[in-house]
Amino acid sequence: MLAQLPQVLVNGVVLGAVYALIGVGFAIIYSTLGVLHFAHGIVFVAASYLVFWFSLTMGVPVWLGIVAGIVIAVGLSLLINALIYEPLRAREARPYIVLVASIGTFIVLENLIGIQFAFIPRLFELPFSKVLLTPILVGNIYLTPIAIIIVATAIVLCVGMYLFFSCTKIGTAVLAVGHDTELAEIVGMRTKLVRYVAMGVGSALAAVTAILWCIQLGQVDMTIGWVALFVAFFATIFAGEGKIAGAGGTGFIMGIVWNVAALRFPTKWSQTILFMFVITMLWMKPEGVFGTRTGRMGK
Amino acid sequence: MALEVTNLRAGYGKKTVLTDISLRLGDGEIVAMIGVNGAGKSTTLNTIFGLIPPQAGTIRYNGQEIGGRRPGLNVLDGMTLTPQGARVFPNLTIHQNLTMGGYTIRHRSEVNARRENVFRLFPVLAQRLNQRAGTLSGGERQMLAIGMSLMMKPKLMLIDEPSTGLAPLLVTEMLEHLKRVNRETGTSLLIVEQTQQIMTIADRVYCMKLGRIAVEGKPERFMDREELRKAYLADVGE
Ligand SMILES: Nc1ncnc2c1ncn2[C@@H]1O[C@H](COP(=O)(O)OP(=O)(O)OP(=O)(O)O)[C@@H](O)[C@H]1O
Ligand SMILES: [Mg+2]
Repeated sequence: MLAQLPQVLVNGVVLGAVYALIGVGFAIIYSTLGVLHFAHGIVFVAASYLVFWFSLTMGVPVWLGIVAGIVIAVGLSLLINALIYEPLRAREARPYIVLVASIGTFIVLENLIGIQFAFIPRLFELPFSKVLLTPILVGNIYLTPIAIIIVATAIVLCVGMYLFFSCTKIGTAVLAVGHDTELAEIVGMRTKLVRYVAMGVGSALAAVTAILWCIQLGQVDMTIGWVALFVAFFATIFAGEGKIAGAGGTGFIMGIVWNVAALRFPTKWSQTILFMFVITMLWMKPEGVFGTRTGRMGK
Repeated sequence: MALEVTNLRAGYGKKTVLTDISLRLGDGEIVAMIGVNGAGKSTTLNTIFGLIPPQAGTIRYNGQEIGGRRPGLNVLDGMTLTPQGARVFPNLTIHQNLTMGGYTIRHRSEVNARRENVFRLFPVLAQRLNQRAGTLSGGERQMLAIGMSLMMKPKLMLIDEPSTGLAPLLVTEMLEHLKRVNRETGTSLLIVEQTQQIMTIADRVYCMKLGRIAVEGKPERFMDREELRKAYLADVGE
């Protein structure tokens, strides 16, 4: 069993990298808009299905299909912000109203896409998929090129986000908009613009992640939206309030725990073990893994 | 004339809170605004600053009409608002809060110089540079809130109840600090206050009632308890 450990850890890091990418994108939006953006899940579905549709059924060149898929998915998220979140904010809607509107939007859009493409998973083989999925043996560990790409992207992104939010003035300003929009406006920030940019960046990350992930899985599947949403939600809350790079860190932790659990227990236990782990950690450190004590329950 | 407000009407949504506000503030003048809770003092400051769109009337800043424009533009023109309740960013450090106060300043060296300037006025803040603002005491937070406004080297400061949360001795000190800023930089101050001590630094006083200016006068007039009581109870339009 110990002999498998390196491979298991590597698999954990690869899955964790996907989770990290998902978590960071969601955390950017959550911290800046202060909205539990459930409709975020639809960006994953839209991006992957659009690339599938453009490149594999319409015959659009792959690169163009990918770019178009990302652009349209991001546009969709900006539209959700413009038509739902901003008007509700202007009318001072309570957070749970926004939450319900967000879940509703997700379900409506999910069904529209589902009706168009049927709800079954579809094979997703881009011309370069074969190369990207051929395992290479490094030492005694199997690695696919796509896995290396995903891990590298995730690490660069987490470090980049950490530096951006803790060391730059603009990064601090984005956090400030999330903490207190009115005060941010008072010191002269263009808070509405900041919210749109955060939405755009977070969604672009989601779209890229969705495409990389679907290449790795070899299929597009409607359920990716819900899976990504849950991962995003947990990684973000698990990291702690306003810890955007931290959501990447917790993404990695969750991926590794999942795989290590599979080493010892049947895979049907993996999910249970992962979430027991998360709950236990939150019980011990309610402010989140990277969080600092500020908020109190009921405050 | 730093600020000239004429027949201003404003409120929240369709609701009108300020029915008819007219006030003036000369260059380098310190004007106090008093009035009972709910009279509309904060609403007046927030409307002047652009957080609330005016329903009617004009707001002139240095002769230019600014009614309804984005607060960011007012900040760039040297006007700041220090909102009620010592508002700071609780999750950011003192250092970061001051940087955010000077958000619109381009050059980093300028930001650093002005931060030092704030520390000269409030040395307590310098000792707690990396402490998160959420863990400061109420009084320290108030100093930080005013320090954030001072980062802009404002020409006109709108300050909403700077003395709340301060010990009586510190109220005098805080007001003296503001007076000093006014003297050293010629900054005009429009200060909403509830405490009588404001009369010691104010050049002129407006007393608000029910969304209007009820009484205007020299501070001496409001020094006397009985006169102050009369002002608060005055019929609108006296
Ligand atoms: N966001 C809001 N929405 C609706 N009404 C409001 C809002 N804020 C204030 N009001 C109302 O406007 C009126 C004036 O409020 P304002 O805060 O300007 O009073 P104030 O003179 O600053 O009082 P205080 O001394 O208590 O700070 C009050 O009747 C209040 O209920
Ligand atoms: Mg008030």
